[in-house]
Amino acid sequence: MMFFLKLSLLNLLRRYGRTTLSMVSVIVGVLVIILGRGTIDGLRESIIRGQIDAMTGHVTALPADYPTAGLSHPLENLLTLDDATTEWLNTNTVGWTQRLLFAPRVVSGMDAVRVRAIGYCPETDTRVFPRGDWNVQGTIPETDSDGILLTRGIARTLSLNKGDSVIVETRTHAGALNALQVPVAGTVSTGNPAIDGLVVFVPMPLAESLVRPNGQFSHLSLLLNRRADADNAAAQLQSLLGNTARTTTWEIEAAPGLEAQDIRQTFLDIIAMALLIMAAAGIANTVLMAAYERIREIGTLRALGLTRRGVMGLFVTEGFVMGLIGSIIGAAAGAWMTWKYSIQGIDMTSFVEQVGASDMMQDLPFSTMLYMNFSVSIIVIAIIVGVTVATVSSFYPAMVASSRNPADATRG
Amino acid sequence: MNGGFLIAKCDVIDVSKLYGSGVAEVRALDAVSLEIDTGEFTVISGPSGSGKTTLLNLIGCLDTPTAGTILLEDTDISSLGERALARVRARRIGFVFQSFNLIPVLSALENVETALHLAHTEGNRREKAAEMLEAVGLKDQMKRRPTQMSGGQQQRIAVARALVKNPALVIADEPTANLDTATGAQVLDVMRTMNQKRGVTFLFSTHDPRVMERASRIVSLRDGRVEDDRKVEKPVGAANSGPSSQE
Ligand SMILES: Nc1ncnc2c1ncn2[C@@H]1O[C@H](COP(=O)(O)OP(=O)(O)O)[C@@H](O)[C@H]1O
Ligand SMILES: [Mg+2]
Repeated sequence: MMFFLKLSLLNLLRRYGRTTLSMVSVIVGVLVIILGRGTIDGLRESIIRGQIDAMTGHVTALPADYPTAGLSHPLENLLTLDDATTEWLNTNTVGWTQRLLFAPRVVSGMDAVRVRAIGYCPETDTRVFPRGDWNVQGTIPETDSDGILLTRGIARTLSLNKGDSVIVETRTHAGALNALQVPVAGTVSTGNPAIDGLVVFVPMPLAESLVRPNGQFSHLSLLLNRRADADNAAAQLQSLLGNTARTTTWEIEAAPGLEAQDIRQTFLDIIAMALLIMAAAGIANTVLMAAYERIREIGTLRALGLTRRGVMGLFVTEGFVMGLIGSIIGAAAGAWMTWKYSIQGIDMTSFVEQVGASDMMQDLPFSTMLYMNFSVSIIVIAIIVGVTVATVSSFYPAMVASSRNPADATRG
Repeated sequence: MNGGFLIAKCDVIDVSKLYGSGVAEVRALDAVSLEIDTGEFTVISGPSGSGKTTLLNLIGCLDTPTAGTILLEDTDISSLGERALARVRARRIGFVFQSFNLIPVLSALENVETALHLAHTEGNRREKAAEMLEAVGLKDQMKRRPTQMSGGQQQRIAVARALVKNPALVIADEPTANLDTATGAQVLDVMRTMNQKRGVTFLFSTHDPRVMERASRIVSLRDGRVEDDRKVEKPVGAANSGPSSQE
């Protein structure tokens, strides 16, 4: 057995260039599988994280008739908390907070923009929405008089800096028009294109003065121990809140963004498959050429008593070895790259800006840092696929080799 | 097909072999009958195209006859399947080819070892292979690849490869045709010694008079038929002992 493995290896080395070429095609195929999967799974995780960390937490409750997308933030029907719900939230969640979303105009001199304002509770907001990636210039406002926090894009559009003041115009809960002059407490870049350039943060006491919701809110978000429990928690919360509210989970909200990833995934899988077909053709060709070049040697081995099956084994081993070496090299490179970029990430900021992706991704919360997904199972699967493709594609040429007459050894 | 490994009785009965069909049909062998006994050093001679290689391939189980019967130790080889034939070739028959047919990627030693692997012999194969190479005078060349060696050396490796598994029968198809006179004689002497020392049966094809000189029996073929079959009384190199003597 070892003897014939050795013979196969020596035969492969004999046509070093041809062997290397076939192996490279396996390497590329395996590498594309691992990098493709690593990128898509990384994007997927990044979308999920963006959704959870900036938008919904694990579960969010909002008024029953609330629109699902866009800049429309109705204020007529808002939510309140009763004691039973508060009790449930305190015992069943890791953290919870309320937010009031509204759509004011921010006016600075002659310029004005319509934005999404997030009214947040200064004491509890970070229990659900982490600010680890935030880059703040100035301070994060907490009181009525601290003013508002602008995301950097808006500050740039209106040429504002911390310390400047702006007028915020909005409808109130009752439907009247209201406007206040407030200071800019600071500017922030959150690293999330669905937020940056589109949102201003308003501390709840100031939101209260602007919208006058009387302690009511539009969003109630919570975090659980495990994100997989979201469905269950949403159902419980729904029954507590009754039919004035509806609950949603990170999974539901992230679904449209993830669907786009499924398309990318399919696309990359097709590319990987095309590459593997090329690899298969390369290997089949290499083994077939070997079978024709070595007619006399095959005959000699048959004369020495090697069976047809033995000849097949000899040539299939050559395909297998090329597949194995190619797959291991491809997997090693893929593992190294996905591991590296799973830790240090790839900064997509310039890419996102170039394609104007923040428009595209309004409803697609997605961090501009792409962290690839390092997965041992994908690496193992890629190796298995590479080895299988190489081995299977050497079957036909091996059959050609084994069907030669042993008397060929004595002629030509 | 079992029993002592030196018994090599072979009966060729009324064997014909045809190649191709229709106008392209070639009758390579035409009703050939022949009986080969243990310990013989038989030469099949005849001009090119007379059917020598065809006959040796049939006896060596490399090919099957179109008509007639070949009995190896009373077993009809046409009754054997592909795997059984491979087994017979692996354990009972050694081949020496006109163009040596060594595996170029393997060293001399590994080439000889290959025969032992395929015969599934027991014991230390490397040691046995080395001993056999020493016996054919290649003690110092064992690690070299065949491509770096002369024709005579290569053919001696081939002889070692054929003999190392103690076959009952060695078939050599024009083994000296690609060698010069001196080396050809050397290779022949190695084989003659093995024949006399071990009682291995040899079956050659050749039209080389030096080979015929050493034969104990000469069968002449012409156009696929046996033209002449005679025993040689005192072959060159037979020393004083008879062709079937054993030590
Ligand atoms: N594979 C083959 N196909 C067709 N004809 C063949 C084949 N092998 C041998 N022959 C023919 O059979 C005859 C005998 O050939 P061969 O046994 O090789 O003779 P020798 O070895 O005496 O030169 C020749 O006419 C040769 O052309
Ligand atoms: Mg011939």
